Amino acid sequence: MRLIRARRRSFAGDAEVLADDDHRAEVTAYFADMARPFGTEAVPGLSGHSYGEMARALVGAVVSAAEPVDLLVLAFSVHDVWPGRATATYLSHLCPGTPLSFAVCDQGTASPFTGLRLIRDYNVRRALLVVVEQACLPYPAVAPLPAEHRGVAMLYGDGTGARATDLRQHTDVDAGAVPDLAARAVAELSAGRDARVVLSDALAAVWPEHPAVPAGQPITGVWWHLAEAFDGPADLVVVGDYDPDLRYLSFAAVAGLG
Amino acid sequence: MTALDAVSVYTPAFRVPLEDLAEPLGLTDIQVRLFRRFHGLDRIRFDPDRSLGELLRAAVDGLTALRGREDRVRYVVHGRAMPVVAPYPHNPLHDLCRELGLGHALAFTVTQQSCASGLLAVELAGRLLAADPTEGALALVLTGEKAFTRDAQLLPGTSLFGEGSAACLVSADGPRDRLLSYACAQRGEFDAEFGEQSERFQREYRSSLAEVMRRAVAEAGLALDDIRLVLPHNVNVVTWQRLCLLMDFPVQRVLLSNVPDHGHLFCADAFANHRTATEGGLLREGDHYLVATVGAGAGATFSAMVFQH
Repeated sequence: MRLIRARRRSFAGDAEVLADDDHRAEVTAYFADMARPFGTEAVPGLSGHSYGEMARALVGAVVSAAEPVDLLVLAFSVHDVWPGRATATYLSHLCPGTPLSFAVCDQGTASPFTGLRLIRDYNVRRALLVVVEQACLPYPAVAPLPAEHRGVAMLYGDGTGARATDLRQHTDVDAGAVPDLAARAVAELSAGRDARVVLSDALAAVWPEHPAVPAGQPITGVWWHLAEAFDGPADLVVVGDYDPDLRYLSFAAVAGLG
Repeated sequence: MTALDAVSVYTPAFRVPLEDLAEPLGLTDIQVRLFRRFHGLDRIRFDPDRSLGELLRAAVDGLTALRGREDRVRYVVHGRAMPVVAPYPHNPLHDLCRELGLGHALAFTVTQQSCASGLLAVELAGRLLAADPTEGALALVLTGEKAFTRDAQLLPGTSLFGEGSAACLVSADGPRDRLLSYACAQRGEFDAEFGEQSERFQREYRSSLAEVMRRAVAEAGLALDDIRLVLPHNVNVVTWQRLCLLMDFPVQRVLLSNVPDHGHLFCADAFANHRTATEGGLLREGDHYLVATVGAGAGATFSAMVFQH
C-alpha cells in the first residue's frame, strides 16, 4: 500500500445546504429528536459544515479523472450537520471509478487508522481515505470540538513513485500503558531507520517523547501534518494518535517522503 | 472463507398497527391503506423502553455461541443505516462493548450505505478476519436501530421502519453459513443534490437490484436456479413480487412472511429472515441462499450476498 497523493483544506462558514430553509427545518427536527432521549436539547441557530461539501472539494483535488478509484473510506468522529445523508454513497458518484464507498465512525480518533487498515486489507489498485471534522454541534457541547472545519484526502495505491505505508492499532490501552506500546510501535514501524515521529496532542499528553501537532483538530491533526510532510524532506514519517476515552492507540508510517 | 458461525435476533413483542402511526407520521387514510393492501405491511415493531445500546444488547444476549469466546472477538462492527444517532461524544457501541467484556475488540460503525450497511459490515468483518493472523479470531457484527425521528420511521410511499436487532458471530473459516460472494452497486446520482429523482429511482429500483443479485449469483459460480431461498430486505411485498417477475424467479422462494409483522428493520432484516428460515427448516445443509437489500434515502446502494448453508 502506497500513498500516492495527499491534499488538505480548511473550510470557512457554514454548509451551503443550511441556506435552504426547508432543509434547515428538517435537520433541526432531526437533531431535536435525537438529542431528547439523551437529556439534552437542540440549540437554536443551526450552524456547521457538511462532510459532503467538504469531501467533494477534497476528492476533486486529490484524484484525477485518469485515476479510477476502487475503494473510498470516509472517516469522521464529530458528526455532520446533514445527519441523514449517505455521504459516502454520494461521493462514490463523484469519484472517478465509482468506488465501493462507506463511512467509518463511532471510533474517535481511531477511525482514520481503521479506514487505512481496511484499505490495506482490500489491497485494491487505488483507494481514497478522506478524514473530516467540523466544528459545530446543534446542542450544548460536552466535549472539546475542533477549532475549525478541516479535511484531508489521501490517495493510496500502487502508483509509480508512491510511498510505502504501514500501521499499528492497539485497543483498550490505559494511559499508563501508552509509553511502552508506543515506543514499540514506533520502533517496529521505523525498522532501524531515522523517522520523523509526529504525535497528536492527546498522545503527546501521555507520551511526550516526540513533537506534537497543534491542539484543536482532534481527528485530522496528524493527517493534516502527514499531508504537509508529503512534500517535505523526511525519509520516513510516523504519525500517532491516542483516544483516551475509547482507549485506542494508533500509528501509521509513510516511508520515502521527499 | 467468511462464515456466519451464529446469528441471534431480537424483535420486540410490542407492535403498532399501521393506523396508529398515521397521525404521528402525517399519513393520510389513503396512504395507510396503500401500505396495508398494496405493500403488505400490517404492524410495525417498536421497543420504546430500550435505548439503542439496550436494543443491540438484547440480540447479543441471545447469541449463546459467544459465551466463553469473548476473548476471541477481535472486531465489533455495527452496520447502521442512519449515520448519526447519538449526540457527540455519546458512543452506545463502545458502552455496549465494555458491558459485554469486549473492550479489547476494535469496534466501529460502518454506515452511509443506508440499509445496505449491514451486509457491508459482514463483508468488512470477513476482510479484517482474513488479514488477521490470530488463530480462531472472531468478529461480532451488530445491526439494529431506533426509529427515533420521522426520517427513521418512514420511507415515503415505500415502507415503514421498525425496531429490532441482530448479532452475528463471524469467523474466517467457520463450517456453517459460508459467504460465497458479495456484490454491491452504489448510485450516488440519486442524492438530493442532483434534484428530485424519486420517479427515476422507482423506475430503476428493481432492475438495479436484479443486476446485483445476478452478479452475486454469478460470482458464487452458481445459476439463479441454484438459489434455494432469497432472504430479502423487508421493504414491502409488492416490490419483491414484481422483482420476481422481472427475474423469472418464483416468489415462493422469497421469504416475505416477516414483512407484515415486522416492518423494515433497517439493516437487521437479513438476519431476522435468516432466523425464520433456519427455525422453519427452509434451508437444508448445503443449500445456497441469497441475501439482498437496498439502502435507499439520499443516494442508493444495492447489494447482495450468496451463502451456502
